[in-house]
This record gives sequence, C-alpha cells and structure tokens, in this order.
Amino acid sequence: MQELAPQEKKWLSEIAQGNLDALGAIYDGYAAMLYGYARSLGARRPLAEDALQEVFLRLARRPATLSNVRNLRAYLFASVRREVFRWTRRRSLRRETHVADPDPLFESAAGGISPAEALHVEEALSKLPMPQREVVVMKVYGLLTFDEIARVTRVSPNTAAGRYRYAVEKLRRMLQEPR
Amino acid sequence: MEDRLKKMRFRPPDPGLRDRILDAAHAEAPTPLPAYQRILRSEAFWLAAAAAILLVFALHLFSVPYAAPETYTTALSPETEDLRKTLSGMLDDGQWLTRRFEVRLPVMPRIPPNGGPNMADLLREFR
Repeated sequence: MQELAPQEKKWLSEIAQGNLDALGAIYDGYAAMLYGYARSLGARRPLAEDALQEVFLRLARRPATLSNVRNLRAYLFASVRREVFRWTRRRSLRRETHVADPDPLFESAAGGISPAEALHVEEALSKLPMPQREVVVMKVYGLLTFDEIARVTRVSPNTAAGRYRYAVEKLRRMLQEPR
Repeated sequence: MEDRLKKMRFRPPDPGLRDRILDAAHAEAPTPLPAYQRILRSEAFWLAAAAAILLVFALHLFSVPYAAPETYTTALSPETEDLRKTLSGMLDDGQWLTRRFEVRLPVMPRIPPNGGPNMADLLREFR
C-alpha cells in the first residue's frame, strides 16, 4: 500500500483543521479521474456529478475521519464507487456491461491518439464487463497497484490482476492489436 | 495496449461543478467546536481520566495501615471502656484497620505526700 505523498498529507491536515481551500486542490488533482471512473462504472453525467459532489462533501463534513486515510487516491476511488453503487443499486446498473452515454468519456491526451481512435478505444472499453473495466481504469488512469485495487473492489489481489489481464486481452482482440 | 490507453485521458467534468461543490462544502462544513467540547472529544482527555481513576484505585487497593494501632491499659471510665471494647473488636479484624486511634486519657497529677488543699477538686474533676 502506497504511503501518502507529502502534498496529500498537507491537504488532509489542512482539511482536518477546517481549511477547505485544500479541498479545491484535491478537486483539481483528482476530479477528472474520479468523474471518469464514475462514468466508467455506468453512471451517466448527472449521477457521476452527484457522486463526485457527495464524495467531496463527505470530506468537508467529517474532516476527523481523514486522519485514518493512508492512501488518498484509493480512498477517493472507493468513495466514488460506494456512492455510484448506492445510487444505482435500485436500477441494477452494476450488472450493466455497456456504458450507453452519448457524451464521450475520453479525450485524446496531448501528443496522444486521434479523437477518432480515442472514440474507438472508448467503445471497446465500454464493451468490457464492468468489473474488468473498473480495474483497467483504476490501474491505467488511477495508477493504483493491484493490492490497492483489490482493497477498493473488495476482491483478492489475484482476482484484480486476473480481471486486468482478461480485460487487456479482450481489448487487444477487439482493437485487433497484435500481442 | 496500456500505452494506447495512456494516450487518452478522461474528459473533465463541467467547469461549473468545481465551484458548486466547493460552495456546498463550505456551507456544510461543521463550525469549530467550543474549547470544552474539543477537550471532551479528545482522546487524550479520556485517556488521562481513565489513568487517574486506575491510579487512585490501585493506591487504595495496595495501601497499608500507616501505623499499628496501640492500646492503653489504664483505669477507664465507663465511656472510655466502651471505646476500648470497640477498638479491641477492630483489632481482631486488624487488616481493615487503616487508621490510628489516639485515645487521650486524663493523667492523674502527682499528689503531694501531704495531700493538698485542691485534692478534693482534682478528684471531682476526674469523676
């Protein structure tokens, strides 16, 4: 499990002391990633925004709980996951494998692939089963280790690694990429 | 495959969402507690209180009588005889006797061989 970065420690300490300016810094650092994660879990835009808002409000409401946080990114991923599942439980979106949202989830990074290709990859990613898709998102975009992913998703590290391996294999097949 | 995925990034959320969230967070943030409530909620306070209680209890449990009780043999008046019996009874269960009882008995002044003019008064006083 990764330790908190010095900057993250500073943010959490400031929030715990009631200084909410650090909340803006955390938002700037992680909001896009968390929002994308919420969307990749099957949440549409309004729900993803609500989930993101609830996660940040929880940080503001209960600053004392932040003293127990050992890994901020994993904590935020787990919080977003919990919020999205709480909202979507009745709609059984957890079983949905295809993200049917007209708004594109990704954009091409600077010096990256073309927008058309990004859309193609996004479509392939959206066809993965949700458990595999979320592992890919947490691994590639959240930079979490398999151990951290396992804690967030409450499975064993081997299961998390296996899901990632299957997901990458499927993506390769769908995108006809050689091994 | 991973390299291809890393060449993409998530679209950021609506730009207005940041202000909405931070405004709501400021509105919902708990107000600072008064000093006494912060003390009552602090772990250090409750740990210190528990330690103090345990210390007092331990001192009580392991404390020993700080002086052995003493008895005096003397001619006692009926009242002091009652006290003597009480003290004797307590001596039987000596382990519970943790205080020293000091019995102050009147001391008969030395009477001059030839008696004295105040002899009768002295005797009356000790009756």
